[in-house]
Amino acid sequence: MVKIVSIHSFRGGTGKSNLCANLAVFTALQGNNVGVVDTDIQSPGIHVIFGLGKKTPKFTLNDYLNKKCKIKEVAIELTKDLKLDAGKIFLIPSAMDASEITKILRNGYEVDMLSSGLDKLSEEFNLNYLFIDTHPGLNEETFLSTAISDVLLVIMRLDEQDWVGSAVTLEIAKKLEIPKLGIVINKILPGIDIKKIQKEINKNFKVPVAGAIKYYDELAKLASKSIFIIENKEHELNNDINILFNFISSD
Amino acid sequence: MVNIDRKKVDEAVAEIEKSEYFQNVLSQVKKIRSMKNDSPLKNKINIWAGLLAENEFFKLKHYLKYYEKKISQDQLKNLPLEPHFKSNNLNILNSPKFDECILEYLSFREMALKFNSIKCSEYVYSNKPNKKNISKK
Repeated sequence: MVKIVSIHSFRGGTGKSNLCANLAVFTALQGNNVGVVDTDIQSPGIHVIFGLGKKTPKFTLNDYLNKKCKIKEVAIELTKDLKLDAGKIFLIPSAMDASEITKILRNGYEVDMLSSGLDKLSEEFNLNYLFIDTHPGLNEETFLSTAISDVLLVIMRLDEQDWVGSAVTLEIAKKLEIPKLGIVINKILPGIDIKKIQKEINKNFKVPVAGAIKYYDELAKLASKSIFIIENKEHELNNDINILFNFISSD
Repeated sequence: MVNIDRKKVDEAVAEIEKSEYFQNVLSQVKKIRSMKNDSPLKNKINIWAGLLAENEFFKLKHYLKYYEKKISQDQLKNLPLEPHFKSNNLNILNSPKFDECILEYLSFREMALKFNSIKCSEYVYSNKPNKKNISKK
């Protein structure tokens, strides 16, 4: 049975897509078959981190939602490209073409269409995990894609601008009865007492802190050109991602 | 020091809860969850999905494409439709509202497949999505 994990943030610039890509690769490296779906239809970007920035995929998620193709035709296997020595990874990109983006935003899509597509995809590729990279904010598309998840991770920074929006997102997620919720505090600056902050967030948001990740200069310098943990297997970020993996994989 | 304005949060949540789009998502999500827990319905869907062999799916898709783009409204009557298969049923199949959980719609789809498999069309359809594959006999 596949586990669907949505990675979401209320505001942009939280490092959501980078975290999603690294967590997905880490999960695959544990011997799992993993799918990554870019439901950030308004501003797709995770394909760049996976090295597809200059390539035009034959089909995208938009084509599936517009009933132009089957969901399995959208999936791109990247296991060999990423040189993974365990597991498998598939990317389901969104359209980069402006007219396709507008079309799906104008007409919308039905949540059961996305849900049945993800089911078919999981069966077709025997997936253990499916990660959904969402569009930031609180809109219908976000609700649609997060509501069908088994786990929702809300990424936030230690920035007051993130707090109320993230709290609202989590309350709405509770109303939608998403089975498991977690907060990830990202880009924590040096000198901050992480344990103390975790405690405060836990108390204020009434949702467990799934992970607390420091700001890494070397990750910022990579500028989303590739998956950081593949080239930096001994880096501290691997431990942070491992903690997140334990959170999503436990029942 | 993390300090959230709970009043602000509660007000925003209440407003969203009242909104049409939230109610829409909630009802769709409830439907999906009940479907996931309804194994007889899931089995039924699987049976229907099995009927739609890949080749048949593409044939139908090409037929619909042809139907939409190449036949003008006044020529519709000339389409070799099976007597009980109405043209508006084809529209339902091609509509974004098509729901494979509704048996009536599924029966339209089955009829469309049957229709396409009988030898009453003057056109041949291939299973590759390419314009060249639609050719006259």
